[in-house]
Amino acid sequence: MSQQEMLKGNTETLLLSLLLLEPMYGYQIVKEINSRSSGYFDFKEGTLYPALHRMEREGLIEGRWQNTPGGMRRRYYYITLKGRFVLSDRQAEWQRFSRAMNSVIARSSVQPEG
Amino acid sequence: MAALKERLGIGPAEAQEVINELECHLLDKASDLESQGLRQDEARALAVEHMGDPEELSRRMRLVYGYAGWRDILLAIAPHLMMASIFLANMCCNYLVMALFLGVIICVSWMNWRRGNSSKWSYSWLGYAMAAPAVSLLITVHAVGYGAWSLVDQPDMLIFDPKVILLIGCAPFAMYYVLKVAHEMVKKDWMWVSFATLPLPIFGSWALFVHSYEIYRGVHLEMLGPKDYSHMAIFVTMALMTVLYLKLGRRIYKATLLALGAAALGIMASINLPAGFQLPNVVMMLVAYAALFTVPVLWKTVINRQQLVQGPVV
Repeated sequence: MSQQEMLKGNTETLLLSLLLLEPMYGYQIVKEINSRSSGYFDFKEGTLYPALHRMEREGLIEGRWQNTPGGMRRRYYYITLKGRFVLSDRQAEWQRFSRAMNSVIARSSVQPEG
Repeated sequence: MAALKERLGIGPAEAQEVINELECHLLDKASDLESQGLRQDEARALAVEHMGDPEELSRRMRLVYGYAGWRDILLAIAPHLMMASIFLANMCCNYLVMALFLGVIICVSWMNWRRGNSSKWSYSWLGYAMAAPAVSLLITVHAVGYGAWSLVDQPDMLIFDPKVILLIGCAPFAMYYVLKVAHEMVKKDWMWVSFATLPLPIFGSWALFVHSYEIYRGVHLEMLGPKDYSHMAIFVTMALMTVLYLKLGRRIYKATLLALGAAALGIMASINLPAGFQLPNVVMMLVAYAALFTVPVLWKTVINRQQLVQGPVV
């Protein structure tokens, strides 16, 4: 499975986890995810904004336009109560999934040929 | 950005929101790249390049905004199906049933409006909520016109009817309500107003018929028969149109569906008038639909022109 495919199934969890820490705007989210994952997750704008707007329509997050001290208007995203519940479920599911994966792959490590 | 806005193919208010946000993103990114040593033009070009394929972004945004889920669709067709059931049960002349129906419609629409929620399903409810005051206006005009004539012909009649006086008194409030709601909807997207007003001509012609026969001529509507399948079919057609409208992604398809569907509804409604199929009725109904279809887009053009001159309407 490619990195993009793995990311596709977990975009919402990543975004909700980040927004739980503090409200953020789009570009800030891209930078934050990139820096926290040490460059592993490279979010493209074409993926990020449709995901944010879809989550907003589902009531998981809420976007608000705010003026910044520099005079720019940015759209900050806030996690909603529904978003917190969904995130809590996803985190629990992820824990179960990663434990199960680890317990299987840890016993069968493949040595690279050559 | 202009090319992207055209390709988005979603509602103008939503498209503007997306464009503003992406512009903000590009400025942030270009500024970051400049701080890393790139020239301004290089930084901007690279920021745009990183944005990716605009067609892909548009396609994804259309998936978010262009299509409605089945929950939205079921809620959107609910008022049409309720009206179809009322006509099927021939309860359209039962004031209590109609008042209950309109009461539910107005309450739901009002609550939704107050929440600032413009969910896709809410527009067909708003259409019926506007139908009540719009029809009362229509009847007022009819009553005043007929009453003025009857003052000459039969001085003891009509204009002094308490119901007519009540209607005339309500007319300014009804007009204010209809215009205010329609204006707010047009500001968001003119096409939703054309969509929401689909029931108005049918409701209007039917209400005028009830009004004329019941008040002026004393003939009760039981002449319609035990079950009114023909009117029921009109509202079922509207429900089917609603499903298609909400499932279509591109605006051009939606506009085509509205134009063709409105013409079909106009013909169906005029055939179902008690007077039977008559060409002038068909023409009148089609004119009514054409007006309802074109007024919102013209209105939106005026609002856009005002925004250009005076700044955005808040």
